[in-house]
Amino acid sequence: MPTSQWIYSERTAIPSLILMSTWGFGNAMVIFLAGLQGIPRQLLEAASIDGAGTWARFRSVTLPFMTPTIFYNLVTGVIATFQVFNQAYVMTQGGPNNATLFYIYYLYTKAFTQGQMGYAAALAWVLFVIVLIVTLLLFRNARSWVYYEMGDAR
Amino acid sequence: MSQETIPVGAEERESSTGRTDRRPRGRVAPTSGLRPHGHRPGRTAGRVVLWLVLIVGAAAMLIPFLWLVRSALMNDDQILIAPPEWWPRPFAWGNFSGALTAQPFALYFLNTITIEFVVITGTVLTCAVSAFSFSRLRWRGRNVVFAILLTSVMLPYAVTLIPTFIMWSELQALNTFIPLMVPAWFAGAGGGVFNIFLMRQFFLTIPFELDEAAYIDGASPWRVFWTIIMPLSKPVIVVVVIFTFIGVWNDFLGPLLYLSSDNKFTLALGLASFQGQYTAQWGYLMAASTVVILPIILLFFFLQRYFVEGVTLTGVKG
Repeated sequence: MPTSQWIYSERTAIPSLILMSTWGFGNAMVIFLAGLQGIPRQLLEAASIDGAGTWARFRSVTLPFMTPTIFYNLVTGVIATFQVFNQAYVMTQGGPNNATLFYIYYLYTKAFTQGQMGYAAALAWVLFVIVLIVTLLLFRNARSWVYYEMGDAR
Repeated sequence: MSQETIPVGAEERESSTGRTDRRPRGRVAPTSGLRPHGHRPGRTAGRVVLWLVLIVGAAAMLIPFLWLVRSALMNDDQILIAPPEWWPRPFAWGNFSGALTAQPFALYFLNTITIEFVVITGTVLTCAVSAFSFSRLRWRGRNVVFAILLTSVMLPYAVTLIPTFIMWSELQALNTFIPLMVPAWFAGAGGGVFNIFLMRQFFLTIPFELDEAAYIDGASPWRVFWTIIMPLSKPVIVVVVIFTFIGVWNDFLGPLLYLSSDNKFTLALGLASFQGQYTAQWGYLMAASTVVILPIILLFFFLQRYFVEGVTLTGVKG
């Protein structure tokens, strides 16, 4: 690995933080584990009897049953990443040269260091609209690949 | 295909691949994913590859933690050697005592535990009551309200951040634990809705005959909640406790907004201010971080079983 400026260079600051955040997917992992338990055993069995190998079973039984879980993690993940704050505050303070000036960090500085509460509240609503639109798009897109057995969509 | 070897429940299966040329194998395939079949070439190789992938993955996950511990035990000049070294020489145990006395970490710990206690109690009680109402009581509009509740997960916390802050400041509650504690008593701490969802899922798995029997004997819903549902729901309660504990432990923005005097700091906040003051003293910083992370690691280590079990039992259906 070449030595790099990591969070001290404009070009690599955000990739560094992304890399760092991959160490925080424990939560999603637990939810995936839970989702895996919900897969009907008899279907996996039936697939084996039909001669499906490991890969085919994963492809045609496990994956379709996991789509709601994947979708849940996707939506919550997207909403959470829109609101990245801690890394920017603790590690980079929005720098270098505003390269990591994330939305919420900007909102925070507006509200709590410059005292522009009204402006910050407006920022929050703009973010809300953006998140809402993205979420709706995700939901619309989900119809084509998320599989609900009962149709008890979340 | 001959029928005599097909297990019960497999009659209505559909061949996903459309291949019917396979002869059934005389035994029900175990669910472990391995067909009962003698040793096939490639099986062992596959296992080895699988293990390797898992080991590499686990190592990748552990590296930051090992790095942290290794740095916590080194003197500052050894930490910065390039290429980096993995083994401290000498072991700089002094980092720990130095770091822990440089700031009142014991006080921070006490503050954090106080908040933990109040928040966990409130979260478990109020989320359980809500979940009970959403799963085992019938009332008009129940499912609509629950759907609205679920959509509130989609609401970015940032939207409510400013109004909430202004509210607490009007109530003269800034620089107290109140803003960090009170929401939990309204099922509104960090993952309030998620907790309600988890608990509701779990409650739905408890047989309704129990409630009915109790109601016939003249019990009130409260009584059913306390004497039937709660005692049977230990696994999910444990999960909610763990999630809440970790959430409070790692909460940074909350304390940052509401706590200003440093004798009220939580561990997360104390660590951040420590970082601000001791930027160059990596050994101290790493030692302090290790101490702050340790309880979480231990907690997970001992309660991992419940962790997965509890979430599993409730089966998060996305």
